[in-house]
Amino acid sequence: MSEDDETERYPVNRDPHPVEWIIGAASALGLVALIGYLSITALSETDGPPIFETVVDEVIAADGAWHVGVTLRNAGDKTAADVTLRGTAEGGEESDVTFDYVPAGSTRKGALLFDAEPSGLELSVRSYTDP
Amino acid sequence: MTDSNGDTHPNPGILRDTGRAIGGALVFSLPMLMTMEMWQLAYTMEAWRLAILLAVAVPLLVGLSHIIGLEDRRTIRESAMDAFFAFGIAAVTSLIVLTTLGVLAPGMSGDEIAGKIAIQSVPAAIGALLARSQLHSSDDDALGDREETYAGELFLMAVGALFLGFNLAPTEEMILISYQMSEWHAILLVAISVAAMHGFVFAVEFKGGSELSEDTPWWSALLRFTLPGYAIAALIALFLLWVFGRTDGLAFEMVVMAVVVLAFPAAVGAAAARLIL
Repeated sequence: MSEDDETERYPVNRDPHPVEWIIGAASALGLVALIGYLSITALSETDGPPIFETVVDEVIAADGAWHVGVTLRNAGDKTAADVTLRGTAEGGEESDVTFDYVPAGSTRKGALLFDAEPSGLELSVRSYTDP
Repeated sequence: MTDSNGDTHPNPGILRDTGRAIGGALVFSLPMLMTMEMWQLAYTMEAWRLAILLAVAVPLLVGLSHIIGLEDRRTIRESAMDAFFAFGIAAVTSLIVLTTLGVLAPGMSGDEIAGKIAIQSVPAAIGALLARSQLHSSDDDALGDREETYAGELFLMAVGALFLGFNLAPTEEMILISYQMSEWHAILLVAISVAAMHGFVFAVEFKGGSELSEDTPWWSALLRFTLPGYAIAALIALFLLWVFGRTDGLAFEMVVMAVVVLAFPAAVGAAAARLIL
């Protein structure tokens, strides 16, 4: 610690080591990239509703019920909340699952249960709310 | 730790240190001990992510212990001992509090109980260590004379970011907020976070803040300290969100938004750590 200058005890007032500038420049670049990315995303975003895509991942028979694993993807630019997905089997049996949030561009997984083998299964999103 | 002559306590030493550590663990971790999402993490989080969290936390605690324990007066081994002592105190404190609150109950699996305690132990251990530097009596206060280094400052910012980030990362609100915000909100939040960090340490002259000398321009401090601090806060925010499984299945854009949201408290925590420690 310098005796003659009290502010010298803070590293900020010492002669900067070159590494400090390199770290600083890298951080500044990262920050510019972050803001740039956010701006570009904001400008390229469409105003439409969420767009849902569903995929049946697997069908497993277990414990006297048929588990249908499903993936729900939101291909739109808007996040949806409380998304209700309904599966209807050929025999008319229905099963529902609700996803808390399906963020824009993201996927969520869940399962629908059926008593009988769900052949000819149709999946459809019935409702959602704005988060 | 040596007692100075002013200490009239009949039972100084280990008992006093333990008491302080428990106090620190409680002060710093009660908000998390009483948060539902923190309990749920014990069974929603994969074991290997918890293992990574602990693997990151241990060197961090040792480093923190070294810095606040007046590094030039002790060896790394002593600091490591202190860190593990703090970790142990944190685990026992979490165990007692969670059991008393009925969060831990018979019938839960060993995995669940271990998970609940392990997650809480990280912030509680930081608290237990800080108790040493913050809750002590003034006669053994030598912390103010500590030689500060650039790397040390960055490290302390990481600890502060981790601590405040830990408070908020498990909550559903972090993700929900990122859904409610537009990208323009996010850009504004980045600017506010950086401004808050810079202001905390350099501008508003808090006790413990760094006074800029006349030869040091504001932009030099911003570039060398505040921006790296924000970068550290953002990386820690990303790490915490990932560890807690908040980024799973999330689109890149939404991950960036969530990181910006959590980086705000993490940045404030980072700045506060430079003031307090």
